[in-house]
Amino acid sequence: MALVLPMDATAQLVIIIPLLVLLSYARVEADAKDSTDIFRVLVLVVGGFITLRYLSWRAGYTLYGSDLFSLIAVCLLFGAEVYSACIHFLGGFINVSRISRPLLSVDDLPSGTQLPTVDVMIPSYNEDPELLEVTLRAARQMRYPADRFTIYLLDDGGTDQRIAHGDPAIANAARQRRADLQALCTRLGVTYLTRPRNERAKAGNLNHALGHTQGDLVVVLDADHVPTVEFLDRTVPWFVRHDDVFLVQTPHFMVNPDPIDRNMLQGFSRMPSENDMFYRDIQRGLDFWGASFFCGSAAVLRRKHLEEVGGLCGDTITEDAETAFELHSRGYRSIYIDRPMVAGLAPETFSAFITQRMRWAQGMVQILVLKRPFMSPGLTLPQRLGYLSSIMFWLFPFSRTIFLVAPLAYLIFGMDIYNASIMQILAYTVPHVIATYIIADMLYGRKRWPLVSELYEVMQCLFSLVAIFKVLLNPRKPAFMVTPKGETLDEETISPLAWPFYVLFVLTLVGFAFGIYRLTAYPLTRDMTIVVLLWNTFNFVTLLGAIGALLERRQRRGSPRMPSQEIGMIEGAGGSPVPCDIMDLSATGARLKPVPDATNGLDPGEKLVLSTYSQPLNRRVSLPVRICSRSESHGVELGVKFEGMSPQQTDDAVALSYGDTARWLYFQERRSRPVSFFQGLTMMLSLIWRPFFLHLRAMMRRRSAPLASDRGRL
Amino acid sequence: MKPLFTQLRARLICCLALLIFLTGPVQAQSLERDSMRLSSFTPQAGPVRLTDVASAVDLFIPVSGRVTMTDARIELRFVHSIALLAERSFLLVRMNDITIAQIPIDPLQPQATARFMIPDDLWQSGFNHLSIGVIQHYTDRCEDSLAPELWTELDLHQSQLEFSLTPKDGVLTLSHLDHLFGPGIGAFGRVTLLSAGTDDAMRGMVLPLVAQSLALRRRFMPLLIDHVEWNDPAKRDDIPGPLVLVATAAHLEDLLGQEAPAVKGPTLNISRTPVVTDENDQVIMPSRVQLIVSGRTADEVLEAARVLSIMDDALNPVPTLTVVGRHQTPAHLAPLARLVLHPEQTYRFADLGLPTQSLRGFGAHGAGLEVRLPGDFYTHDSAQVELLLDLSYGAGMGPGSVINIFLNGDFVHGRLLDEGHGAMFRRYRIVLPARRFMPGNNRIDFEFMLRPEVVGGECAGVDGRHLMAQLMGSSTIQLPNFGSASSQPNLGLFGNTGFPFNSEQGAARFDLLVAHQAQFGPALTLLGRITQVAGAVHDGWHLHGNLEALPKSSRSIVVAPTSALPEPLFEGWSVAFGRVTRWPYAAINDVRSTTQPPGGGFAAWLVNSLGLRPVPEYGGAFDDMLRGNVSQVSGLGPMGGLSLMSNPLQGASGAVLVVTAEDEARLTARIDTLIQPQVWSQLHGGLMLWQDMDTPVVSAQVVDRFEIGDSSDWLLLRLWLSNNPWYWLVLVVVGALLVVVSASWLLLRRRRSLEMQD
Repeated sequence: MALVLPMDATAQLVIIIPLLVLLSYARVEADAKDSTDIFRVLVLVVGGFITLRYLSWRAGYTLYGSDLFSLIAVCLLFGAEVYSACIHFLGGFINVSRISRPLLSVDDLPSGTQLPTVDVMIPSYNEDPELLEVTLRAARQMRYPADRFTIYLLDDGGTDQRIAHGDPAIANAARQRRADLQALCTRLGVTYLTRPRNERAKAGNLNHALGHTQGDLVVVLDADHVPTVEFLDRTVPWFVRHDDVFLVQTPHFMVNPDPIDRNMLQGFSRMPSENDMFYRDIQRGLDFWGASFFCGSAAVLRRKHLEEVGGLCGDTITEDAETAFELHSRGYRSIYIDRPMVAGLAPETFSAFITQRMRWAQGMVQILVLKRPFMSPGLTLPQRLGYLSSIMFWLFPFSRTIFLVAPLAYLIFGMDIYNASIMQILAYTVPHVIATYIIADMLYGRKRWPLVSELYEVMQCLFSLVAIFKVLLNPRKPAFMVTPKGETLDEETISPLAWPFYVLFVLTLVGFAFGIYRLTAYPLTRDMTIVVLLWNTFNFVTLLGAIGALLERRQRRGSPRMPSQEIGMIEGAGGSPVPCDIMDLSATGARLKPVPDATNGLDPGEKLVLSTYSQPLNRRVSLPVRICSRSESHGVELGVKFEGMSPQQTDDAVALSYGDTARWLYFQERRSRPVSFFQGLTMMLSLIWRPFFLHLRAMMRRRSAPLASDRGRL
Repeated sequence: MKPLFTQLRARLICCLALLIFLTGPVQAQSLERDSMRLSSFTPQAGPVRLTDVASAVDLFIPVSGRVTMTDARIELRFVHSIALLAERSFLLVRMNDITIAQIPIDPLQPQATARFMIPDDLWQSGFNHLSIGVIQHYTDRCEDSLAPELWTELDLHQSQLEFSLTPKDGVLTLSHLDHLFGPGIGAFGRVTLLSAGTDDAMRGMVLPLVAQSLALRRRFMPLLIDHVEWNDPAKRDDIPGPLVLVATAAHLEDLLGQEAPAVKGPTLNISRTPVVTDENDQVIMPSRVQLIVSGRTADEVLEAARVLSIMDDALNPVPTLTVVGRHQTPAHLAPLARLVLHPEQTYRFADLGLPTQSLRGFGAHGAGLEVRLPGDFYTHDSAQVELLLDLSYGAGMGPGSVINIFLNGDFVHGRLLDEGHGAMFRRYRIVLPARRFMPGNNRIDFEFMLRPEVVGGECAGVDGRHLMAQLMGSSTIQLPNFGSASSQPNLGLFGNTGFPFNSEQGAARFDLLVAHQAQFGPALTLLGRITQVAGAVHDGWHLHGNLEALPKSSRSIVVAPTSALPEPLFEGWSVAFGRVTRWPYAAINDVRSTTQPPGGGFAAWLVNSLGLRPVPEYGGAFDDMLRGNVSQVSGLGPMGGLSLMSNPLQGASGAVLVVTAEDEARLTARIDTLIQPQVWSQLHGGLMLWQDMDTPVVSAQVVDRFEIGDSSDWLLLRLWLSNNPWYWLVLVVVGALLVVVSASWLLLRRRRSLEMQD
């Protein structure tokens, strides 16, 4: 502390200004094209110093309370700040430098190289066969010698245990599912595997399959994770070249927005996805330190190494990270390839989203408690810090909840939670906030826009907090919960998880009322009241956004369409071919924009043939389509559905829509752009109101519906 | 006619001769007639305004036990409102709670002078309470007791107390020392120290102790000290006024002969000198008070002087005492440690001299808590002082009833007393930034305004006698951790606390250096004044008859004429006295940033725009200021010069106070003036020039700053860096760059290694 705080607040205020100028300069230089890591390090060191200085001041001079409750509140708030700072420092360390692995190809391997055999495993529990069919068809089309890879559908929904279930409905459904999937696999030439009992969830399913297969490498794909044709071509060479590589992980590229994005931000095609920050930045940073880990899917693992640890680990419900940790501890290496070669589905509803995130949070806390990766002797120090960073992140519900409630403790109950003068806030707190923002902007600015993290954390914190407490009380109790995927919503509905946010929202409003009272009644603490009111306003804005996001919008399309840059030809029964742009595309349909002077006769119901060049297949494909809709708001645009396709055409449609990595790359790059804090703030402020009022209207409608039905009965 | 005229003239001469004969011995007893302004007895400056229906001002008149006050009269000048009702308005004067005068007010004559006597038997030794109050009304009917017409203004500066003093006879004992040298009227304001022998080491330590001891008994009143080297027995007889003889037993025997008291150890003795007559038995020097500080050896003399500095006079009703032992635990602390508050301690108000205060009746009431902090009190800017108040107020408080709390005159907290049935608070918490407390004396004022409930209807007001509030002595003040560091020069702090020339550590050594022994007297006079403001004697002063010890002394006071001051002493300083005078003229020195944040510019704008107030005493950054000085051959003329600065001869941590004038006579006169409250209270900045009490004082803040501290290097560093933040900035940036270069190199290595692997 002596090194950080040798001066009074006024002098601190004076020196912090040049430090912030230096920080800003280094931040700008860090983005320069020919910049080395030196400016990134400079930003982290100077920003870290400012944060350390802030924490030292907080620890040394502000931790006291007028009574026991105030003291507890003060300590909790400080604990939350320390936690945030630790995450901040760990994030800085992990992301100080990132690595982009070179693109390898099987074709570039020395001639005569014996390629390893590959088992592609697609575990499934309750997913629709239609969803699985797309994944299986895409897997079949991966570019790799056909005799060197086998595809397995690992069905956990049709196990002997479920077929023998006491509930006849469940047993019948399981029996039917097994039959349907066996038929599907037979049709596609895929091996169907199931097992006697549903033990250890996904890890158990995969381990069971490992016992029945012999491939050198194992590819794990979730049921909704559709690979592009080059997936094996780009990943397998790493195993050929390096015997100590146990894992090659690739990003999970989502083709639909998550519920918060869809309901509130509505920026799926304009704004980086929520998981972009992890897959495009953090995993690359972890890879630099040799600590990138298995994410459950879109990865290739070496069987030999897996068998050393008894297959996929199942002590926790995040078997992926746990397995990677065990193999890292044995000295094996992981590789992360930042190239989207697997397209998946994000959860469609807020409930599904929370189910997924609670599982991740619980699993990571289980690893923290049961495995203690930061103490593992087999890991290098950067690897330990990498795991610590990845795991500790999931404790954010503690800090986020405290940050939400702390201003209310002051405004409503008058607890002195933050003992500082306005001068000290200017000298320590404000520079710390600025430095933190600058660092976060440098590390994640292109992948995470301002206030987005806060919104996502607020929406998860209450549920995850309860889930984490349960883990801490009983670390071995949590059970694997499958994230529902591919759900549809026929009408707008308020999420059943909304009520805690109503309570917080009302409390925040009450906090404003008390704050105004405090402003008038306690002139001596007016400075602090204003600061806390600003803080409360920030919480209010995020809660507004959260409530807006809790109104689930309609989601009728089961197979999301992604933008496309392809051009094609449409040809009717009698007419001449019409050139068109393919605006978006999925395995079941597309949106086409024909050239303006040839749109006559292109009406709904019309059957056509769409032909285009398929980059993944390296040939032209022709697909039968039916026009479902026609709009003329931006020129003539046709909504078409693929209909009456042969098995080969179905394969072609899947390859056309999901097989091209370049499409995903283009889409990712298009939405990766930095925005300034004020742009982000303005955008957020402009976005939150409409969903919020729509939410209110839905509430009113829901209240008035029973009344109307009551009146009807009367 | 001529014989008659001659006869009458002869009778007249005989009468005059008889009168002279009769009054001669009486004159020797000195029936003195004197007068003092009433404003001398109150710290309040300017006229005193008495408002409302009834109010009063309290004066405390100290009278020495050495004299009897007789024939005292007061001439009181006042002005009052012309709206007052003559029949019901009057001044009321009370002396020691006895009413001695009721002075009617005539609205037709708003300016008036009242004269009245104070009965002799009402005077007592010590402080006498004179209360001058007013009862005033402007109507016979319903009256607003706070009406603006209700005022009377007392001009205490022009009002006089005239009196006669008669010295008391009787055997002198050591317990009389408190009266003889006390602050009261009639006590000695001048004393002569006679030191015998050639033991400079003994004299150098004893004389400062004696001077401090006597000055401390004078409390706030100046004590002029003369010094005489006493090697001739007859020399004592030429000196008027009280004497203090400092000598070993052997020297006393040599110089006093039979008159010398028996000395069997460290001895204090008080007596009267014999009357000195000439060969015609004419009294040429009356009997004088004589205090002897002696011992068989030099160490015993020093021990006697130490006991003189700590003893309670009232416990020694004997003319002589011999010290046989002295014990103090812990031994390393100086008496000052008992007076100042200590870090991380909690003090009850009652222990700080503020017992439970019961405040009754309508109007404003106040209670003050004195908080004395060390002169080098310094703490971090987040430290807080916590007040936990036990207070209560009774039922029936009306609108406008409040308690306001002030720290050194600045409002810090307020609360409405608005519970109709009264309220009681236990541990009512008020947190004050410790930086708002100043080094030295601080005062926390609790001002209660008690008003009754408003009752409707004419003349239906409640008189407010039922109003009551209490501030309990069990209330506490808790101090944070603090250390010892101070930004200098700060003559204001020096004038209030004596810092940097006092210490809580007994081992702290200070040097009092004079160019020649003839300046011992003025130097000791100055030391006496420093002791008075410090409130405690420090047993670490060394008096030197030359300036040779200056390079070795970390804290020193130099009293010398300008011609004797060494030029290297002022090296690097904006001020210089001597053959060449150097002045930091205001036109080329900008000292305003002592009240602005360091660095000026944007930070200054930011801090000022937000209304934030840095603490000026802790300095600012002076790097950007205009600095300069002019060296000239001119001199001080009739002025005395005083400057506090770092001691370049000793090193960075030394501090030296230079007090000088053109010649020895002026130096003595200027120091006699300097210690007068009117001049001393104007000490400010880093440089002061003064002449006499009627000439305006010139003081200036010099741009040269230095930091001194005793205990904590960390605090000193903090203080220094707070004044020079750019050094810290450079250190941080250099450190950051080193880390950046190292980390970047390591990252580069790692990246290359990964690329090699791929």
